Amino acid sequence: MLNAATLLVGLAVLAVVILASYSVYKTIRGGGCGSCSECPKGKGRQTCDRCPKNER
Amino acid sequence: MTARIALIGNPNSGKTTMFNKLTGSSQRVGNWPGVTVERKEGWLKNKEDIMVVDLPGIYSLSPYSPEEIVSRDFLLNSRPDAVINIVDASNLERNLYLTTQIIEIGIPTVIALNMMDVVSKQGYKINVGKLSEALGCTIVETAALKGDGIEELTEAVVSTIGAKGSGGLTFSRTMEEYVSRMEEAIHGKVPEETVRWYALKLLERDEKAKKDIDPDVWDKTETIVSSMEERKDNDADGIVAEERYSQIGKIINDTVDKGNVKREETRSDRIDRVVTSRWLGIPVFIMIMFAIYFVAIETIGGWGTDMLNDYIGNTLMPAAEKWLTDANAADWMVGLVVNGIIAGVGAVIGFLPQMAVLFLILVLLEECGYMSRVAFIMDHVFRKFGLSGKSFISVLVGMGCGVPGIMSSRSIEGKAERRITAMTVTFIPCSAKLPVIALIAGALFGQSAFVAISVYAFGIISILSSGIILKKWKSLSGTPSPFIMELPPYHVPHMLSVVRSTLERAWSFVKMAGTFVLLACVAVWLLSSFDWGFRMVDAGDSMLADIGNVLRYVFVPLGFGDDWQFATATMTGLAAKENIVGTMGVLFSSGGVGGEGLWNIVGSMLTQAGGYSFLLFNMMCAPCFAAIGAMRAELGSWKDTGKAVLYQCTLAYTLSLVVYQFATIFFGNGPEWWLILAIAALATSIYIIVSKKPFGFLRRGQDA
Repeated sequence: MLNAATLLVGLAVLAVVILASYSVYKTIRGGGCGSCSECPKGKGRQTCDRCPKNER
Repeated sequence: MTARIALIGNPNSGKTTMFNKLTGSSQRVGNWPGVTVERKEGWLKNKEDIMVVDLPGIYSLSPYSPEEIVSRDFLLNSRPDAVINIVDASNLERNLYLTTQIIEIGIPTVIALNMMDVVSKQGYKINVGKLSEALGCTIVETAALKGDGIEELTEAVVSTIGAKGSGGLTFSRTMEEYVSRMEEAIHGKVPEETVRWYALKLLERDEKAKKDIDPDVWDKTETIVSSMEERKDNDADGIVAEERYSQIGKIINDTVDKGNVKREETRSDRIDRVVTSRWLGIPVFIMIMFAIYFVAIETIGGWGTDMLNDYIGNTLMPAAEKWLTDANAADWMVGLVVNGIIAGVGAVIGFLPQMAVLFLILVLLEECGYMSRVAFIMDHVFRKFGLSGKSFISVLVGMGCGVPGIMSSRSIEGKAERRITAMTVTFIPCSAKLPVIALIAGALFGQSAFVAISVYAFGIISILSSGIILKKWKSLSGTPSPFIMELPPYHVPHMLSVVRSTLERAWSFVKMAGTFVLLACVAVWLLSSFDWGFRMVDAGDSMLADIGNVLRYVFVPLGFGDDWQFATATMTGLAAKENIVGTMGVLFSSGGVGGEGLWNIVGSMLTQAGGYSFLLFNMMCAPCFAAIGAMRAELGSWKDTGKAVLYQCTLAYTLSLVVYQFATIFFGNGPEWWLILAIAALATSIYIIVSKKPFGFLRRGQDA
């Protein structure tokens, strides 16, 4: 059985993991690759001419 | 209704800085050409219905380079409502060569006479009114870096929208005769407002312009061009360029007052005599790089990293563990939070001070103008290996991140050189690889700056050797592209821009740790804490250990295959290179997070030769998924991308094998049996480099 502390911390960790996953998803979906240090605020193809998601 | 304004100018004329000032955005500004490879868009500040399109920096509207084609196609086909032409006032003659071509297209144009502050310092005076009259456009004096003249420029361009274009220069009487004949020949075949532009381009024998018109008139246009060449006794494009420069020369004589100013040796010239000297250029570059890493890794940055690691390992982790245990959380939950998330992410974040100092110094060097000199110096070296300074610019960009480094290769004209650059640029360590360098330097080499310098040296050597090797492959053979580059005068960096660039890069690093690395650490902790039956076990009996124990045999000849942890760290590094350190943080968390705790464990598990080989392999092998995706975009197919990744991994394996096996002879316990493999690999590499047709036996492959 999970006690209250484990459950609460588990939920907090789950929330952090979901947020991190969402952030990664959003960066990739938004056009940026996510790991490009030049990507301006993760906006990817909308503003970055070097974004790999840009059409050639 | 939305209006569009195109921003166009020579490379290094301050175009991207102007774009940022006009739109309030923060696009990356570089002190070398090629920062803008494609067009980018933003909205004019306080005029949200007017879009500004920043076009790549170009010298002319001839279709020689990808940048010229992008800019020319946009002006001709999309026809913006107005053009802002950024003209570097300190290089007026060359900049007006492009201006004269832009105004011929017939779009209303406003000239931003930029860098007027530099002209004043040089002691020249430009009669702006007269210049405006001669070119038929409004001219606004600006200094984009300081923000001078931006409001006036905005007002001028807004009031120009909807006006008529100036129509261009009037050439000599003979030339005008040919222009008229050409205009007559193509009348009705192109839009009315571009007739003069097309006429001049056809007189230059511009093949792309020729394709835009009806083939029925090709014979007629050719007759006109041939007759002009015969009369002027010169090539068609040479005749038009000469006419253009002659008119520009007259305009400059009428509008620029050079007074009694004599060309004196400036401070920039004196510095350049040393920094770009044939003999001293490269030693000075190596010394500067050493100084950078000495400050960033060994001293100031190193002290910061030590303090941060101490805090995470000695304060944050015990406090989190105590708090969770006191709250009666389950042991596995304590393990996940403390040894998984905090240890893993903390191991990466611990390097933030070193990264921040490094970013700061690199930004300062870019901003002050030194990095452009480095590209110039390296052009001589790269050219000997079939590449050029343009490839080195990609390498410079790649030091920040491999993705834009690969993307910047598209500004290289030669297809072979462009593809080789895209395939090899990730050999230079990007910022994500720096924590791995700092970890191995700290664990096995007393934080010596020589570790970083040697890895960069191996990176450059690998790129240059690849230049030789890959050019022997038929589909990648070709001559290096011409490299034209202006060296801007040295100047004191704009502090706001330096701080912003440094913070952006540092924030990217933190964001990466908080997202990709965090997820990888949770996954690594789960895989290293449970067995295949999902029972909690020691790391040695976990799923990850089983996977690592299979993979590790591949790395035995390289000196880091005795323990499964290094094989799994290498694998997780494929998603993002920071994961290598994050994975070690999780797997070795019993020794304390980051800093000395992690260093001690890594130091006790690897020999110096094995550690260095691990470092080299991870620096040179397949880059992260994002960079592989970028390579796919540049190379055009997954098949070629696969070949490129295979080449990178083979080179990384060969290099690590040779370095490790020979290092064990001199610094280890004597030769291993794998030395035979290393000698064979070395001999094969030398044969490939020296032989003229090493891939002759693979003729089918070459022809593919």
